[in-house]
Amino acid sequence: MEPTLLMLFPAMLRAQWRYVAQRQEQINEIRLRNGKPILVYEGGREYFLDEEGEYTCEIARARNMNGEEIAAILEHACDYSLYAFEEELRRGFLTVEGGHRIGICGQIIPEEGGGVRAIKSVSSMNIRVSHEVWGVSDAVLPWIYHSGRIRNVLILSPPGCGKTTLLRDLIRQISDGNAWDGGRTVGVVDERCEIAAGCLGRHNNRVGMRTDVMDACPKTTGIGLLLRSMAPQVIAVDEIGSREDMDALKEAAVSGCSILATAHGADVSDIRRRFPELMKDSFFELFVVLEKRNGRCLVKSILEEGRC
Amino acid sequence: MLKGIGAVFVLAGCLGIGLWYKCQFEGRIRMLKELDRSLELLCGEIDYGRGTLPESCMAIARRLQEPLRSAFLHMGEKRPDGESFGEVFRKNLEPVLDQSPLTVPDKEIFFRCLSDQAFWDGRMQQKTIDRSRRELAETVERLEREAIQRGRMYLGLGAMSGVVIILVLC
Repeated sequence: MEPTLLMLFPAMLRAQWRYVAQRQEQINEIRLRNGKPILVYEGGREYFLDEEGEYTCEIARARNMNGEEIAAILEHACDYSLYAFEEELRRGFLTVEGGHRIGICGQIIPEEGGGVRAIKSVSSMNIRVSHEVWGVSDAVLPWIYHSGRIRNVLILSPPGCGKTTLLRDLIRQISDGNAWDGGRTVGVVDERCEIAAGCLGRHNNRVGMRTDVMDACPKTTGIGLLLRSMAPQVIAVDEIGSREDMDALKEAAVSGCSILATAHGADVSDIRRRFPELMKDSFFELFVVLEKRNGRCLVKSILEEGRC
Repeated sequence: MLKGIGAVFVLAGCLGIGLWYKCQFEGRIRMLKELDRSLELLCGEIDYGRGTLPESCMAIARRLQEPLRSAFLHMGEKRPDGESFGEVFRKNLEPVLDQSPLTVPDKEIFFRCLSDQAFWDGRMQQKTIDRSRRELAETVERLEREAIQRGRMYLGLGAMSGVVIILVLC
């Protein structure tokens, strides 16, 4: 079976990208810019691509990307149905099969009264490769159980440090059961389709046998729908930051759900300063702080509320 | 006696050819209506479900009759070789439509709306499909107006050619 990364590229470009696609498990990002060298980030290092599609560190041998190729890749990634990704393209990124996220940059067409109507003439693209890593939450699992229940957990780190990967593995282990507890019903609001990587009702990533997923759904709406229809014991969401998100999570907690969430932030004090709504009322009982060291994502610290 | 039997067979054969042309004409109208229906369902899927074109084709396939049903199901499948949707669209539908009574202009009206580059805007995508639907509807209307006369013409020509052949042979 072909790597999911290769599926992003149309037939006419696949020969040039096959080498890169085969290294999917090691790659973090691919940066494509019109008229500039292609950059691939792997293991904390940056590589150019040469004409044969292989790595090189010499800029003289680097192949430049062109606008037609960027447009062809975007069109193929959208399944030749750009209109279906209108909302995602307006936000500047879309998630494709395999859970990979493609960020785009180009000329903004503004909406009347502010906002973005569309992005046209795409000049650069950032492909963030999704990685499903089993067992990455093993060190965290013992901490999340307390007196027979699951604590409300907030996973935080700067971008690209593995929050979603950790959250995904936590969801899977809680859902399937583990050495610390039997399986529990988990409801996931997968707003960006990165956690379960859902496509037509099938999920590319394994999130556990007792997990229900709301794909491509805004967090506040999805939490309400899950509470009313699926009776989850645990609710998991990615990248919270607003008061509306917190209100919805509090409603879920009042209904008896435990909460697993992630947020952008260097550490707990950073979160406290930037998102005071998240830290009100000691809602989160456990903080898992991640960092990137030598190209590897690691758990920096696990802090209980009251000891932060 | 034998000549009489032969004449009957010749006449029946020629009338049969005339009937076949009449049925082809009616079949063309039916096929055009089925194509229009498939585009209508597709518009609905795009408007309501905002699905991609392959997803939408898969979703509407079960509401269509054969042979379009199988063709649309195939168009909704994954394309592991990286073919564009336009290529898959033509590849699946051309053989089906080639075996139908449709003319080349009829098929081009249908292919034009989906084999070109997709639009960023859902409304433009629907408008493109709607334009093809209007053209199909105009063609159907024109053919239905001519249906009775054409039917009589094909049968009449069949009968007359049968009589001519009989006279020549006699």
